[in-house]
Amino acid sequence: MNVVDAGATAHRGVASVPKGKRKRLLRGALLAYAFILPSFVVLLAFRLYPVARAAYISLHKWGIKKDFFVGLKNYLTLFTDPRFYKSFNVTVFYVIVTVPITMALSLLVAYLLFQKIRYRPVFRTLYFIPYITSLVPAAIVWGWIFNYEAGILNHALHWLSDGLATILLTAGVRPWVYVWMAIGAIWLIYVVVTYKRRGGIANGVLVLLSGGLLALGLFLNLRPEIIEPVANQLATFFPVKWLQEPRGIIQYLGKRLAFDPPKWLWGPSMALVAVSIVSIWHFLGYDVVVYLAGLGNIPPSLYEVARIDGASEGQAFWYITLPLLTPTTFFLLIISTVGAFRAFTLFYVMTGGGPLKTTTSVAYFIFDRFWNAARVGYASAAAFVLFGIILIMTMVQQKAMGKRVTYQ
Amino acid sequence: MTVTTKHSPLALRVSLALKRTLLYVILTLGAFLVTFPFLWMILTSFKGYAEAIASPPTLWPQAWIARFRILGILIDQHPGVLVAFAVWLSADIVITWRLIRGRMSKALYFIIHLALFFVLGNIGPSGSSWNLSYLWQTATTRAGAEMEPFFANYVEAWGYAPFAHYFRNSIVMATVTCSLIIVTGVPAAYAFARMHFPGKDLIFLAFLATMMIPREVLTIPNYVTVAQLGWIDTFLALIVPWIVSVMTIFFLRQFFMSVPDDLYDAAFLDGCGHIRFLWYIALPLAAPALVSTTLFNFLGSWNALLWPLLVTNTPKMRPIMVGMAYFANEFGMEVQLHNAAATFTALPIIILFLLIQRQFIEGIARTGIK
Repeated sequence: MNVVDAGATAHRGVASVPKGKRKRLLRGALLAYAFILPSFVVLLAFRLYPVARAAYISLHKWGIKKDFFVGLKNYLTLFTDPRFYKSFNVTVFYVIVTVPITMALSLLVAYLLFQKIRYRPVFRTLYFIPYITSLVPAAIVWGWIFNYEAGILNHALHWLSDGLATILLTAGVRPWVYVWMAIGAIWLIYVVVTYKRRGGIANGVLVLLSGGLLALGLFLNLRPEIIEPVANQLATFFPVKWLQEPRGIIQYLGKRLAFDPPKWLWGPSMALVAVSIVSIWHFLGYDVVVYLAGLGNIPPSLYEVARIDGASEGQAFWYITLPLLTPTTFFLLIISTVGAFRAFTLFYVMTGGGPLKTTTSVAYFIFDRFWNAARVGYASAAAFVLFGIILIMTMVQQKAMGKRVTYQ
Repeated sequence: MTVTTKHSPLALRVSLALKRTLLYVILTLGAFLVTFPFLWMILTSFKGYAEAIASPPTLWPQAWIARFRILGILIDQHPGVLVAFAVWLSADIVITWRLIRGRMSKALYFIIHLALFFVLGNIGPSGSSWNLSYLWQTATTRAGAEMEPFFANYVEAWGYAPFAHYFRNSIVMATVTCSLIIVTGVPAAYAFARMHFPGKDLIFLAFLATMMIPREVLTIPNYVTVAQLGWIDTFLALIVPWIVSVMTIFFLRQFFMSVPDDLYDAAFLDGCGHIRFLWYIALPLAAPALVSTTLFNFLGSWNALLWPLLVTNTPKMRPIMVGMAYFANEFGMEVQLHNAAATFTALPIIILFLLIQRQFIEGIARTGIK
């Protein structure tokens, strides 16, 4: 908060100045208060007073209007309410699914866009458009894309998985298995011969991929009876009832592949996965722009030095780009986590909290209790708990970001 | 390049070319996936209901295919149409090229585009074979009197709900809100940045502290307050609680502090008070900062859903986002109408963004790196 201090030191002691100047200072102060007054009044009425009032409401049984004082009963009920825990669970799943994937994808896109490429502004605009699109129409369009029968997504995924199944079934048969294995072998040889150009991790990944292709060809040829049921499952896996499917994604996969995962492994419901996909789509562009700005702040001389020292591109990314992007990553992590904790619009438009409450996030739970069930006191208590959670996260953010935010 | 030692330049070139190709393939594929919902939205919005839910799905709307067929017949009968088309195409290539080279503003490009369509379509007296729009009309009526009008879904969707009211409400709400944010924010930011008064730091900290309060906590008590004031279903309820943005005050304060002290001292020696300094010097200097904060405030207000949903209860007061959400609920199965409504709801903001995207993107980049 160095700027606040700077203002204070510039402010000379009022008592030590002559009388005429003092009067002027007083006039200046009055003018300053007049400048601040409108904002202050509105903030007082619609930001500070409501917090006190929310606390007051949360201590009452409050339906359409105030009924009677109940003390902490709302909070006690809340902490024994399985629906609240479930909504908390849903929110945590939502955060875990959306935040890391959005950030990883956006880092990839930003990194690719940061290379010397043509049409960078065009690509950047295309990736940014979803973020500029209002969530309500976007959610409606996506709702139809996810539709069980008429949705294009199920058709496209069915077409893809069916094709993959056909490849798996034919790749093990005599003439094709040679083609398959030849591709794997040539790739593997290429990777081994040119290993010096890459870093250790990239080599490892490429050897695994090419070797895996080779081994899979062999496996397909020798044990077709194991692959066949998997391929058949794959061919008939889609359509999936995205927004109407309350089962967890692992549970659903398990059921289709005939194994029974334990309950703690069920994962977010397919409906929540669908909502998460839309969220990732929407916020990707924002993260890309922030990451692009972060990449632009890395001095190019560092890459120059790395290249002269013989570092590969992968090594430069791993040892220069990623560490220097840490502040950006951290900023995005906090912003997206807080944002995901408060997400409401997508849930309201796409699923309405269903199916079987598997997309009732904490924010939606509060809305539902307040608006649909008219339990105002109870909803206020839940809002306060959410406030506490967000406050802790924001404080972490302020602590970590404080220096950089006010830096000028 | 000092990356390799063993490889011949050719092998290196091939590998680099492969890498670049892969780069473009991934970026293009990603851009396609990201923009696909828009393409699909627009395509679906021109289909009939049976067509829109057909399985397997069709790509091009019948309405488009039919019109392309008519265009073919038209060109057969009047090859002169091709001349008009060539003129249009070459003019279009010229202005697009100028746009890409940065020699033309986007607004002008947009206007010229529309003008080209209109002028070329209406050359010659109505009823002659020189008038393209007349030719087109006679050809379509001859081809099929039963053919639906081109924008049938849009007209139908627009008629099902008071969208004109929705848009008016959103425009009023967003414009007034973001203007008042500036009206309240500029003096406060200036006072915090440039003026001295007792309790300044404390008040500023109180302002900053309100940023920590999430909207979820405010929603319920504010709703109760607004209901007690009798503001439900009025613009007062939609606007007044949001006319102060601490974020904007903070941002503008940063900006005012960066105005050089010399400027300030010189103005004061010339007898310029705070109000005049703010109005004639600080405010014009802050114009770019005002524009970018206003953009974000406008967008935030335009996209708000929860609060407007709570405080409006008649269709005539709903902003577009709330109206759109209700519309999607009420006409549950009409996929082509949903997509048409989504198109005309989403498109204004997207076009606005395309016109002024530089300010947008810079504004966001700034929040991330400062």
